[in-house]
Amino acid sequence: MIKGLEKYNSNKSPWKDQFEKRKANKHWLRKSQSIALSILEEIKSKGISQKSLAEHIGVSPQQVNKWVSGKENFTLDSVSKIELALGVELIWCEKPKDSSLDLNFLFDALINQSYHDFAQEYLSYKVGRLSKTRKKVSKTEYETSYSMDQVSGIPNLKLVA
Amino acid sequence: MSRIVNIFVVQENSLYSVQYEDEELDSLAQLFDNWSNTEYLHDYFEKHKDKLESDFYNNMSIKSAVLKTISESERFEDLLNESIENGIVLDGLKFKNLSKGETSSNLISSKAYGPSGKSWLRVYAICLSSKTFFITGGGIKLTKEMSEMEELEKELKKINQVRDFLKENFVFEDSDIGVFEIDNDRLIL
Repeated sequence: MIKGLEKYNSNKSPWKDQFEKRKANKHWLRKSQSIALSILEEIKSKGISQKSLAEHIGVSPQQVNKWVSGKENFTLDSVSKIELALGVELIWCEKPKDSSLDLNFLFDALINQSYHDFAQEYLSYKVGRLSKTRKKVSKTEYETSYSMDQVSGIPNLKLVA
Repeated sequence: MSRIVNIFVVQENSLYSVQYEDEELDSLAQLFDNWSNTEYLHDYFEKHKDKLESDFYNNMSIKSAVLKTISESERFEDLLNESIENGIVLDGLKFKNLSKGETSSNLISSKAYGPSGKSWLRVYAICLSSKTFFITGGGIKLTKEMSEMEELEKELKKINQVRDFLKENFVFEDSDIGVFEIDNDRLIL
């Protein structure tokens, strides 16, 4: 025991409680983080400040700050307001109709559904063609197939050059 | 440099975390709070976009970097928690030396690593008597050397600041001080 350290033993770090909260809420936090990132990228690309977005929607700047932190449990009402203000779709519920899907959708699906480790690995492999020119990659260049595992819900992406 | 205002317990007698005047939380809680904050991470990677655009990171997008960090952070704190719950914080961490030039002569400088993968998250800690760790801070290491990023240079200063603080406030053998870098790539359970 280090002498003098005992006086700090009543100060408990909040880390453990915060960790458990993050773990318990992991699933919706991922969705919140994904929405937050979309908002951040949208306002930065359009040169909109968080303050002006707040004024446009009619909420406080603190509220917008909560949204972009990726820790907010969004309501559909607030998502809709942000979508209308930014002119983008932040969440969608459509299921893939067939196996020949747009690559952007596939990557977004992978990233949004927390399979970015796979996406990263894939991007690293195909980076020269996909990183900057994702939109230029088309079905004519790659044979694509996409399916969703019915049990795990994990998207399965196959691309053959 | 920000003043040390408090010390918090993560695990009694083995793991403590330092709080600085300009931070709302103790270092450990602050790190994982930051690493799960999309705005904080987006700003960080926007600042270091040039590094992500290097060949080493294969022109990684900011969005991918943010998601990678969040994923690694979750894994990191999972492992850390499991290690603490099993009472193997000390034995469970494998340490690797920080470069000698980055610490003073009487410090044993080390890093600790986890199971696999390429993590860029780091937690820095000082160890007293080979048993008690004090987390001084951490960061996202995008370069080979800490000195190549101002954020990590600041972390080195904090390590030395905490070392001096511990020397002033506690009684222990000076030769028992060690400085450690922990990441989840080689955090062995």
